[in-house]
Amino acid sequence: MTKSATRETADIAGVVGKNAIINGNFDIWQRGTSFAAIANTDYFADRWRVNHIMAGAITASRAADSPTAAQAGIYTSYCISSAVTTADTSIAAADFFSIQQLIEGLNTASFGFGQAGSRNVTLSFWVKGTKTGIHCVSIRNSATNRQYAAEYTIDSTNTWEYKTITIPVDTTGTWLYDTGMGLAVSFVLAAGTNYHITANTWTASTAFTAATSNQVNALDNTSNIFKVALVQLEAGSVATEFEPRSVGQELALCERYYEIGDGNFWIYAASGNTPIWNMQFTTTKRAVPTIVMVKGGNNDFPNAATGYASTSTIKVGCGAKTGSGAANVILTFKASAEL
Amino acid sequence: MTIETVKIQGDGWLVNGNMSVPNSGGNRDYHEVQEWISEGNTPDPEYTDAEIAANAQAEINQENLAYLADTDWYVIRKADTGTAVPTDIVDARAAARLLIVK
Repeated sequence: MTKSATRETADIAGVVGKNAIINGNFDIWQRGTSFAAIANTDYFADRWRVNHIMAGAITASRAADSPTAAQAGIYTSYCISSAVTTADTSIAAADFFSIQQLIEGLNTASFGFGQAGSRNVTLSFWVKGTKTGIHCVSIRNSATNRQYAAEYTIDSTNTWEYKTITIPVDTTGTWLYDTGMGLAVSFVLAAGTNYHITANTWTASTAFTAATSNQVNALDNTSNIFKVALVQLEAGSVATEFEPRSVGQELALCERYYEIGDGNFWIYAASGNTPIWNMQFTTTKRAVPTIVMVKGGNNDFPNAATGYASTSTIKVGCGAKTGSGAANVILTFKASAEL
Repeated sequence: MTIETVKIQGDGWLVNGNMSVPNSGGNRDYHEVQEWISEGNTPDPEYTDAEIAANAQAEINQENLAYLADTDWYVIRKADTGTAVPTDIVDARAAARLLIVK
């Protein structure tokens, strides 16, 4: 049996785990569901963040809006909504705004970016925007020196439209295949001239993101809303039907990068002792995470809780215990191992 | 992340009073702390002088409270049977009480 050098739809349509995008149907929102004036590099839906340098601002939120099952061939409840709250009608050269997902190298290695040969990846998504015209999606590597921008057009205002973009896999450049960032997928909402490159060509640009000069300014009016649903990035040159995962699978995939957990402990220690104990993550993390701890319970531990983590465990301490007998400590942790 | 304060915490840093950032290159916040340091900033020490003193006193208290607890039986025996507490134990318990500061 021989295998075709070019991987096509027939090879992969039934493959489980074909979608390199995590939370592409926007079911998981551990941090909350609405983020006003969201800051640069802040996450909103799990695995999704904004990347921007400009005066314009948006509220990023979960919206109960989606293409119909009849349209998409699959039902989904939610999309991400970007609603402009501060307009910016004049895009400076260094201004840009994008919604993006950074994908771990271990999950993109099989695409073979940076390897010789002819391969493609295909991005498919549903989009609904009040700003019609040409928009861009871009892909870049971790070193931000290989960029690709592709155009798509929002034809009708405030209407769900299906878009597919096939991108030739870059055969040069340095692409990570480990726990670092394999590639970034960005939905561009605005981009100044510093970020303009030629469409459909791999470019050695060093900008944070990439778009063409045709990119509309989707932040030029506070009535602008941009929505995306059912995002999928897969190997091959044809977009296949969006692959749903069980919510448990999707949450576990998200928790590799961000997890909120809690624990209720009874600590038996003499006054003056400084006990330390462990909390286990539900999911092993991509890297040693940043930990934010919040402490409740009684006041026998007057110090704030702190946590030192490995990729699987937090070592918790609350300083010296003051009272005698048992102390109840209620802890909530937020562990971030985002890219 | 906007960094306002950084304090050494074990091998890593406590940022803005509530974020434990590990000394690990795979962590994205680690790189922000490194950038903050490269801009000429210096993390605060893990413990202030007052905290070091308080920790030292807490250890002294713990040691001497343990000694008192270990020798309480002499006092109970005296109350029960009238047997005197040895002088060296009386003196050592008095000294332990003087060292305990609450």
